Amino acid sequence: MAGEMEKLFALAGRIHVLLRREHNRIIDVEWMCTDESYAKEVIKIARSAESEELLALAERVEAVHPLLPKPQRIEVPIPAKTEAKYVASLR
Amino acid sequence: MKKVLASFMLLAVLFGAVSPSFAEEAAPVAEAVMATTEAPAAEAAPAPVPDKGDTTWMMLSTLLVILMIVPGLSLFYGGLVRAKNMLSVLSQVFGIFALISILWVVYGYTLAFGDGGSMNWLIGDTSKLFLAGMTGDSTAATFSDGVVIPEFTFVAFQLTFAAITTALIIGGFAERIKFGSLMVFSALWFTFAYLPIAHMVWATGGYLFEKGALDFAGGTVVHINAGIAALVGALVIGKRIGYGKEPMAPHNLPMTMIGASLLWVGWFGFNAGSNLEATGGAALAFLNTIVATAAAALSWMAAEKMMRGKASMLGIASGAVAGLVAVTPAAGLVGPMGAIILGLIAGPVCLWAVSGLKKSLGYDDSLDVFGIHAVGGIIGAIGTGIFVSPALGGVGIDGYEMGAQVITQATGVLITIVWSGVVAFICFKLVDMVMGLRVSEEDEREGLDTATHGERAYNV
Repeated sequence: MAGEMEKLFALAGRIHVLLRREHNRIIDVEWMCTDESYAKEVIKIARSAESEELLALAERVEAVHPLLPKPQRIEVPIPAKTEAKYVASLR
Repeated sequence: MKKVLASFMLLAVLFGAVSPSFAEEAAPVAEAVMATTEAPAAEAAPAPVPDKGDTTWMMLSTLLVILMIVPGLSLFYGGLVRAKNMLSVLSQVFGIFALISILWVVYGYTLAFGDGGSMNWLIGDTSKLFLAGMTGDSTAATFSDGVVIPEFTFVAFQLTFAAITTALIIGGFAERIKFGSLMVFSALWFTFAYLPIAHMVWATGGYLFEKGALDFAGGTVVHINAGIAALVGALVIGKRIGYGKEPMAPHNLPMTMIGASLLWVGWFGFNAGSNLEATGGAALAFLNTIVATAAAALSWMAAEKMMRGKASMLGIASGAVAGLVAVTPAAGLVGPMGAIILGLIAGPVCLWAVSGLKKSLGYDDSLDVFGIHAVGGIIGAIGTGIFVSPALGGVGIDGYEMGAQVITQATGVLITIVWSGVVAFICFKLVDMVMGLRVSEEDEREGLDTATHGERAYNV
């Protein structure tokens, strides 16, 4: 648990740095780690920033934050198997 | 210019291939009992009269084979192509049936079953061109001495065989051939491939008939013949655009299943009707047509399950058709257990032919005509030579010796393959030179339904 909080603080800190440097936005790192609605808002801002690095950091925060629900992975059906069945053959 | 030449070719096939002989009387097919002039007291035996049961059975059989062609084959093939080409397949089958029906009664019947004199080993004559001299009282012989059927009935029955053989071929190059070119090719191939092979195998005096080759309902005449022509067509015309890269899924497998079911039901007319009488021989062919088909469907299913983990509906239907093909030459000659063995063999072998063999050789036989009809026909033809043996439950034939019979069967297979293949190649090349075989790339991508026929199968 302590290890996860450390990880969370580290991730939040990196988000803070990137938002300040590239988007002139300041966030409260400690508040982000302890408040659910503030964390969700920061993640929302990070996602909308059009930065791959911020997007990745936001996903990692979601995965480790103790107050946020774990993100559900949607399994995309793989059509390739079905499609390959009818290449050069009817069977 | 090309269109003029094409029209001339079609007219030449219709009217100019043989010289008319309207003045000649039709040579009687049935044996007539002649009264002796030296013994006035002896009474001439009456000429045999068709039995109403036999006649009814033969007309019903003819009807069943038509059911195989127009809805059966059309839907079986139609469901397997992409939606944009459904109507083209239906039109091609329907059109070929109509065309061959006319050509058969004009010159096909007489060339297939007439007495060709010095050329009788290869082809018949023109004595019954336009069915000259034939009336409702004309009779045709059956396999039993003194038993006849109306000749018109025989003409109609054999007409359906000629039509379905020609129609089967289209599966080899579906989705890319010009409709008009296909019709011209069909007329040529019917004339120069189907008629000689039918005569050689089924007519008295025909080369393979006299050698003792056995083909009860058309393993060589119909299935190997069509299968080889389809393969040649696939190779000459070339692969479909995107073949090997894009998936080309069957667009309506329920239609294919309906077609396969109609083929099975109609095949009772094809096989049992080939007995020409409603007797125990027909009953044997009838039963064989059930059990061989069932065995092949099961063995294809089992093989597919082992190979791929799942048995597909298309596989079951294809297996059934493979069994029907394999039992066709054997139907009235082998016992039910022999028929089952033929079916059990045909299933997995044809499955390999339409998957492994096809992929390794790389040809685009769109609807697997070669893999099912040619390969299945070869299994049936050779297998007939084995399972006709009385020791294996077959009906037996005079002077039967298994090794010699199998060699004779193989000879028939080889001659059919070579003749059909060479004639098909020449006909395809000829038509290609005159009017082109393949549609444009744009039409092929758009789909033959709209490009060739100006309509869509589905307006949803």
